[in-house]
Amino acid sequence: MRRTVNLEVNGHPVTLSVEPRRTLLDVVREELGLTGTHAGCEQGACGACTVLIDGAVARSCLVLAVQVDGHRVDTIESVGTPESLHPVQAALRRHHGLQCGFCTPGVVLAAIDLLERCPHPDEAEVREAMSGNLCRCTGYAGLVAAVVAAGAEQQ
Amino acid sequence: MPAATLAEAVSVLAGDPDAKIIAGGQSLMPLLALRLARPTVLVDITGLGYDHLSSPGPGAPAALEIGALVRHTRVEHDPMVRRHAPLLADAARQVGYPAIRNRGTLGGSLAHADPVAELPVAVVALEGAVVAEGPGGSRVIPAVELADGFLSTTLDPAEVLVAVRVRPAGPRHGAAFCEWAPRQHDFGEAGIAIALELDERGGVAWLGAAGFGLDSFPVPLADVLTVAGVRDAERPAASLLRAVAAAVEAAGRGFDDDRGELAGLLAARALRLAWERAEHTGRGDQGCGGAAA
Amino acid sequence: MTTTEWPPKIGAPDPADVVPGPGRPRSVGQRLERKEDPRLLTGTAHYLDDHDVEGLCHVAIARSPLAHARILGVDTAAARALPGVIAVVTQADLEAAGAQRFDHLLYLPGVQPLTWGVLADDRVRFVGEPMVAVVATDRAVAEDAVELLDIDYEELPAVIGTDSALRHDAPLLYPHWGTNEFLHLEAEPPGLGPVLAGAPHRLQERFESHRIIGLPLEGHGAQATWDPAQGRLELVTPSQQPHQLRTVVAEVCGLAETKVRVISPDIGGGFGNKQHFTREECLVGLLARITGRPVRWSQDRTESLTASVHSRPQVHHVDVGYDDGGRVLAMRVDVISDLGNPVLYFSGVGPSLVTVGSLSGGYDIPLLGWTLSAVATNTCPVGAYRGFGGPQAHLTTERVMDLIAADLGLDPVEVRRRNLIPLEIRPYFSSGGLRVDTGDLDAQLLQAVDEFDYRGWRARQAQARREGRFVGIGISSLMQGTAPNQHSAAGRFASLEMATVSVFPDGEVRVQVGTKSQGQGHETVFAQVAATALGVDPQRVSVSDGDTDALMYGQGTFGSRSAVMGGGAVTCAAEKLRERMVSIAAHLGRHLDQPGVFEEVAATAWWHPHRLPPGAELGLTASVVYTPGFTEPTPDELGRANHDETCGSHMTMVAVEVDPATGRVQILAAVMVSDCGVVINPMVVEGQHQGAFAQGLGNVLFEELTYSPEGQPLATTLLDYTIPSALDVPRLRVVHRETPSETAGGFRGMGEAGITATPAALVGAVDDALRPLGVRLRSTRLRARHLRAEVRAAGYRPDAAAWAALA
Repeated sequence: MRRTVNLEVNGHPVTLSVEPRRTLLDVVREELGLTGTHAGCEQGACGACTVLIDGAVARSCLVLAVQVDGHRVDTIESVGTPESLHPVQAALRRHHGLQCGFCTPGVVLAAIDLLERCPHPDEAEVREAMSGNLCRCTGYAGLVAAVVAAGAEQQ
Repeated sequence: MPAATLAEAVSVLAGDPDAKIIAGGQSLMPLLALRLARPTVLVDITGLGYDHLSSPGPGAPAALEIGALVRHTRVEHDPMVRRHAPLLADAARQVGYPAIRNRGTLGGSLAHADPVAELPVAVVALEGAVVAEGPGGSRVIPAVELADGFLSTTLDPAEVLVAVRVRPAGPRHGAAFCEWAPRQHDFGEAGIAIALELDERGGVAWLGAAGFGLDSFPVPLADVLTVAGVRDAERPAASLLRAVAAAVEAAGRGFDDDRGELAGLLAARALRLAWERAEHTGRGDQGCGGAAA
Repeated sequence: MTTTEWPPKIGAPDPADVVPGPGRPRSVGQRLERKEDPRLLTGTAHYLDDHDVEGLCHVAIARSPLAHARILGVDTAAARALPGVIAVVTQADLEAAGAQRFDHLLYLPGVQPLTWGVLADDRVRFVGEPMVAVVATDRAVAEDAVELLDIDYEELPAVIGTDSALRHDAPLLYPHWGTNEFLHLEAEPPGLGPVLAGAPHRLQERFESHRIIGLPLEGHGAQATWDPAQGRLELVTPSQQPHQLRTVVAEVCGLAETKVRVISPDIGGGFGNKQHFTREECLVGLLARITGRPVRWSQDRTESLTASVHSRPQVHHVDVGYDDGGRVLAMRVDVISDLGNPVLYFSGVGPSLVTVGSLSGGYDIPLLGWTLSAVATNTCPVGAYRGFGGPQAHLTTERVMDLIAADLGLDPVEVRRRNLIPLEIRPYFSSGGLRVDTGDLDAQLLQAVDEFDYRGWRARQAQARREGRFVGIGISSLMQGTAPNQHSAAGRFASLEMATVSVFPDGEVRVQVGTKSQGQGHETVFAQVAATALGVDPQRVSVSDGDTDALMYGQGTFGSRSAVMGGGAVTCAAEKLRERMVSIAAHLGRHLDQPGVFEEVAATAWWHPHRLPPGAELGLTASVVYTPGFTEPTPDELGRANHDETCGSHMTMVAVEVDPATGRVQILAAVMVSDCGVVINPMVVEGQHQGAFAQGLGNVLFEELTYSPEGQPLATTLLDYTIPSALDVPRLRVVHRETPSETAGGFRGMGEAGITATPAALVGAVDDALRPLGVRLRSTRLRARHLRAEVRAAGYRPDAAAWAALA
């Protein structure tokens, strides 16, 4: 039995008809075709599914789509473009903070969220804030350096 | 289904034994994804408005009351919580990751009763209670009587937990939540919450304590620490810390001796930190250094 | 086939240059930002799950809940009746549709016969073994249908662990074997026994590496579409070896290889976990044909943890004889390797062969003998994970050096120096037949001593001990073969690589290479290689891989081979084109490196070939199938063969502090001096080392897969199997050292170095730290709970007051 959900996605109003058991992750990827948000574990442990709900980081695999009725969702697709990267994305590239890229959209959003709450974090603060985004490829050194650098470069 | 009113929520829950409440979803959703929980209907109570923070004051109940739907992030950062229940803020800070804390709710954590969750332990340590609304009306359950086993509480299936009350901090109050986990944000293997207030002589006038890792639910430890001599001491001397560690370890014996020993060490550290904060600031609200030591 | 002369002509002027040209851009060696990053950073990459097609259906697989059982009956009626279900398929259905069986194809002496179907026949031998496949319009419906299957089992006794599997009365996985031992090999050089017996000193130890999993963040999966008009199957799957997968899928599906296309898209990590050619990949192909619909199987996290590919479980019994100076005289290692249920093509036997082939590591061991017992158990199949058998051998080798040092009161660096392969002999052949072509290992080790400030750390350790703190230093002196020949593990497949380099009429360059990037930055590094060989800006070079229709052959990415083999093939192809272009330019009265000439030559070759020199080849495209030619697939009568095209060497040192009360290990410093030959992109190399370091660290400090005695996997989520987070992995400082190899381009390969070095270094460091407590570590288990048990078994009790005062 489907329910209607009205929400704002990446700045645009969207109306969807979804089954209550579908997660926000499923709906973002399938109904909305926004495949930048990834399913890494579907249990909330890895952070690859990170989106922003009303501007705050959340794990879309742990949110039912029907629970964001009336809310704002932002995904990686709202951050930069291949031709024009957001400063956090550019910093990750410069410092080799990604390899296979699967965790990267979640990392970008978590980093942007951190830098909004804490504009010039030191390495320890970055590691703490990013500890919820698991990466199997990089070993984190470049990732952390990138976020520290992005913070330092921020006004 | 989103519940528009409390009465509606209770009615659905009472009518279907397989209905479950969903609030923040951070504990329930993983169970659904693994098909370990199979509710017929999820009653979404996030629209019911239980997100208040009531400060204690003259004429008001002598408790800090926090709505069940308050998210962990708010418990962690809200100045009122930090002032009146710094132990709760410290515990909230150590729950999962920021993304989890943005969604998870205080009431949800207590109702879910994960044996290694931080907030239920802090609430027990603060001599807290929960307010539940159900088919039979409203009732207050002491926190120490809430969890009774692995993911199990004494709540009736049709009851909705709507508020949490804790003892507010008095003068010369210090608190510390110390847990240990293999990776810093893993579920802890053991965790201890201690809050205390010093009298003019520097001795302990009031003590609240509880821990996880000692049983499948939060274990109150104020009496254990009192027997170990905390109320009679003038300072957290080495001998007292050792006695406390041994007593806490003994309290967990038979459940998991390895965790029990960790709990003892953590109790010594939490006591030392809480005492220090009570002495120096009167209101300790810093973390424990978490599990990193 | 191309070989280069020694020393390789890197950076030397082109003999074909008639007039010395202006400076040629050389991007090899530069820290170029990666070309693949913009799409990965913005969520516009295309992993398997992003390939939506019209009418796509989903596959869910019913997997065995028991470790060992006979399947008595399968009732599919309820599942079939569920709305949205398109097909419910058993092994019998697949065979009726023409599915062929897998065969391990191993030709090693004495190996047991073993074939297996895409789905289980009437017997299951591990929890998670695939039994029945459901195709439905929706993934949730498919999973619901799986739950409606009614399957009857007769439970059989299970064997978990090699000890129980090898008992004479053990239940047998394959009764017709008469044993659970799948393979037994031995190599004993003459004289080993007497030398061991007569050695001035002798040590006998048992070392264990525990079971873990590669766990790429993207789960595995496969999507297939059958085109009846062409009789062609198209498979999209994140495979590390798309061309070899094509072979296997074609065989199992009964198709010619020209009728199968494999597209390996952006991959969210491989690490060996996506290297095998699995039942599920073939299943999806068969289902697409049977149903006539496009189908996708997407592995969920629990499936990946319990029913994909595990790795590492081995026990080594070591017997070493050495002299008063710490020089090893003879060594024998008995390796017992747990294969799980070996229904995995090239299985866990592959890593086991690498283990026994790398037991001497970078050391000159005069007499080395070994036995290998590869044993089947009722657990998930064991197979590839970065390192591929090397880490287990390296742990043993390094522990031996440390134990010798401890026994004789010598410095462990000194003991290693006395045993390292000397520089004078090149190529040096190890007792296993490995052809060693590295630079000066002793000098490299000394460089690490310097860079790490080894003396300083020993002093800090002494001070810490006086303060009652537990600081330790660990050393890994690693020499490892790279670019392996898969033949002996797979029964076929060679050490070769293909690349096509083309210069387009406008002067843009396209490289197609048969390796397959899973995050290692191939789009960038091969652009740098081709650009350097051609003398152009790497920004004008595009690189593609993964499509078996675009490049008809390749050998994939594994075994630290891509730079050596892919880089070698690209180098050869690009150099051929360079030579031709220089000659065309000269014919036109120009020099190739002058502005605009490259484009002019390109246009001439394609558009105005009448202006080419007489006899010149038209166009500008070169395809090369490259091999350095140093490997031998088949061992000689003493079990020796050179399986690797070249070698890398890496000297790693770590310092740790251990809190015995909690068992927490804190890494204080980590340095690696890395020689991987010519470094194409130092940033990429450092990233590979850092990532491998994190995996090696995770291996020992945080990760383990265990089973209940009944064979139930106990790690089923990422909350049970905990990989390191950003709080857990410090920076590994990498110091580059370049000794060019003899292969085209001079590359050596290094992707597996960090994961091989780190467990050995950390076990050594923690053992060193806890030495004052009388603790001796003999396995890869350094998780806090294990260390707490170890120190308490040695009599240690924490002082709560002292502990409470820390930090």
